[in-house]
Amino acid sequence: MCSGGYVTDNIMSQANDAVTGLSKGLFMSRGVGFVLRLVLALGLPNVLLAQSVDVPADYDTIQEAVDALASNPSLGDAIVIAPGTYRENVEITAAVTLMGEETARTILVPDRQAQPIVSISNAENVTLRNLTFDEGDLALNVNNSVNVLVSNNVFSLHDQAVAATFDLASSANVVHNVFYGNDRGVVRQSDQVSLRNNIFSDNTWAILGGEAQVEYNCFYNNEFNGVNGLFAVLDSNPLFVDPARLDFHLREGSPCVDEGDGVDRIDDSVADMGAYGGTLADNIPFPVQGVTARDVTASEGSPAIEVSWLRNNSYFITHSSMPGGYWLYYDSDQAGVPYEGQDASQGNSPLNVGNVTSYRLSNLSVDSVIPMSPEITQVQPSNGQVSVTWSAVAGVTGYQLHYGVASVNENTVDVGRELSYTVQNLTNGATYLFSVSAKAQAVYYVAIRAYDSTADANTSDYSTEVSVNMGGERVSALSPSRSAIPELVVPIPDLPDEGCFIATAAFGYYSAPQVQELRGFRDTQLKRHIGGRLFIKAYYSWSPVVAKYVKQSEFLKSIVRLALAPLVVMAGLMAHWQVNVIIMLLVVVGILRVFKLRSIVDAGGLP
Amino acid sequence: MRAKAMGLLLCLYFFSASVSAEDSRWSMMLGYGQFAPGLIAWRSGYDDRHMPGWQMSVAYKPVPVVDVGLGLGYFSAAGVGFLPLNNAPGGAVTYTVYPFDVYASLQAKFSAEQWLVPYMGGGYTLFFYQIDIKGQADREGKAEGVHYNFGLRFSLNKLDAGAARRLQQGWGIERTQLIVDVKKYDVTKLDADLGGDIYSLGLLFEF
Repeated sequence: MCSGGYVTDNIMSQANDAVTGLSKGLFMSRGVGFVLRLVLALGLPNVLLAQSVDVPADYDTIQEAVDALASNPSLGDAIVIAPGTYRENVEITAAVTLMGEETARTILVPDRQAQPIVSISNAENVTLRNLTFDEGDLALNVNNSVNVLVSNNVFSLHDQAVAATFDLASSANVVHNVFYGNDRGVVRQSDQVSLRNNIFSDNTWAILGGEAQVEYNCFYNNEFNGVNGLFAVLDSNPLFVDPARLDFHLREGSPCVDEGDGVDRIDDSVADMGAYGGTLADNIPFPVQGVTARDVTASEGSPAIEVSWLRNNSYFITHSSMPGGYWLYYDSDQAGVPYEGQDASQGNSPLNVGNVTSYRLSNLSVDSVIPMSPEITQVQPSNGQVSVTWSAVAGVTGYQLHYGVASVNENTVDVGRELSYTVQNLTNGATYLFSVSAKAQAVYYVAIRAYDSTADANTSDYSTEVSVNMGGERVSALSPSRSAIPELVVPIPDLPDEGCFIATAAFGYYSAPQVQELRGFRDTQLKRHIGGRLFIKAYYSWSPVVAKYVKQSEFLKSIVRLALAPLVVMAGLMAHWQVNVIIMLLVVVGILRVFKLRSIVDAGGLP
Repeated sequence: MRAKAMGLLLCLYFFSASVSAEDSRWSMMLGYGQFAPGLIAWRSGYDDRHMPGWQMSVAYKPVPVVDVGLGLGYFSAAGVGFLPLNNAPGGAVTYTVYPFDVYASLQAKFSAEQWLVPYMGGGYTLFFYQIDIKGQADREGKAEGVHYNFGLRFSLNKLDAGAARRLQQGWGIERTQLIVDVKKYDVTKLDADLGGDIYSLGLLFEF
């Protein structure tokens, strides 16, 4: 469980919304309602102590958390959802707040495609915020519910989908959302659903239904806006950072920056339109993408790596007069957080590298220690091969398997970081020796985080980690050798092979060429496909019975031999030719045959 | 011993011969079972003492207390083989058997509505096997032998007369019986004991 910090956040936001509404002389009744609720809320100290539950830390699914809070209100009234993709259809029937930790990375997709991702019915005081709705035919469906707040979300479904619908009996505030690439953005049946500070872009219809309660919205590239309302930004590209990655932050120069109603939490300026404006916006930058690292020792003259990444184009980071920047994290001892590298001449990790997209770490210490020898734990011979397994050694970059008959130095195989390897194509009956060594090399692990230009320098999560091998390899001593003799496996019980049951019975003996042809067909063709394997299984279940009778009757033998003849020919062809060549030949022969018949008919040769 | 067994069978037949002829002549059994192979080396190749599998049979009643029928089973186990030069177990092996039985069984049945019927029987067995060895050619073949079995049939019709009636009207199933069966196979091939015991539980439908 986490504390109720979000509650203060939520109340302040609603207060801001209410004050803004009152000052404009708009939304008067709703504003009074908010203020009353605010007063009531502030008058109840326990509200500020309210708890929230975390998904997936406390509950595996959002629905489980919703149900838990509905049945036990003492758990809290909010659900905080960690970044991730949640495949669910959530049904809400009681007061609750669903809040994503990061808008762009808290993604809700439907489990059942045609059902709403979130449906709210017969409920009061429900808040959905900082979520991204992806895929699905309908993201949000609100029925007979009042005081619903839909804030700072992204609705990016597909061009046949509806983002959000509200029925006649519902009232809601839909503020600071992005509706992108849908068939319909908001479908409402009354003016009790107010729309403010949203961006509608690339939808077929932006808003359907109602005339009033629409202001400070941005419309771009929709076929039909529906209702523009007051103070709208029209026909100007909102300049999203990267819709394909669901990053709907705004680029510098966006017409939606500082054009909304209210104030921004992130930079304390006039509110932006869209999902990252207003007081409930998620202030965590999108993680840095496209990080690469390469060894530039040759050009640098000392051990060095160059790290590059794609610019985070959010205007909070690229701001022309006061840009944000990037933290570069590195370590050579171990992968992953906390990245405590100290050897680069540029300084200890993390390095504040400013607003660049490439950076060099130089004078790195690439000495590595000679690793311990691994120990072979198992050698497992079988027909023409031996599987060798060994113990792991800490801090190594790979292993080498050495083997041979007279000496282990006859052959060496690099097996990467695997802890077992099967040597194939060995001679049955020969005694092979096996030994393993470990390799070590300096490895540098690097990750990047972006920070914005605000006084808080809000910082993104780590990028995907990349690594670079540096310097020379150090190889351990060979492990003590183990021997093994590849040989044919004798099954238990050791029973003879009597071959294809029916064919053997029909052709008289197992080594008959026809039997061997069919056997080859089974092993090389049928076993490759699941259908063939099922056929083999079925065949072995009933063919022995048939074979017994075939064997005893010359008449049945002749019948079966004739019946199998085409299959034997086919099997022979397929063993040497490709299947598709045979099929093509059959098709060509068939076509020629049809043409020939036609020509005979045309010539009156057939009645 | 053999004479005593024959005497017992004749007595059973004599007393149960008074059972009136029933409507149902045909029966079908479906069952799940465990095959415990009698092979001494079995445990060195397979962790599990038993091979799980299925059995089915179809039978006809020439007289009310005798079934004559055909049965087919499927039992499979995965394990390892043996490496003689290394003197160690190794390789991946899957051993599957398909026992095909021709049998007759005699039931100790003294009235048509008897709810618990002991039975015993036996017959000829054709024992088909298939051995899949990873990385090597598979092996398949057969062996002949005999089998003996005994067990109990519990009539389920009286437990739920409504369901029994629906089965009779809809599917022509006159009686449904729970069957507990123990079967012993006596089959050898090249000195290898392929036989063993099968303990199975199934349902027998009489038409």
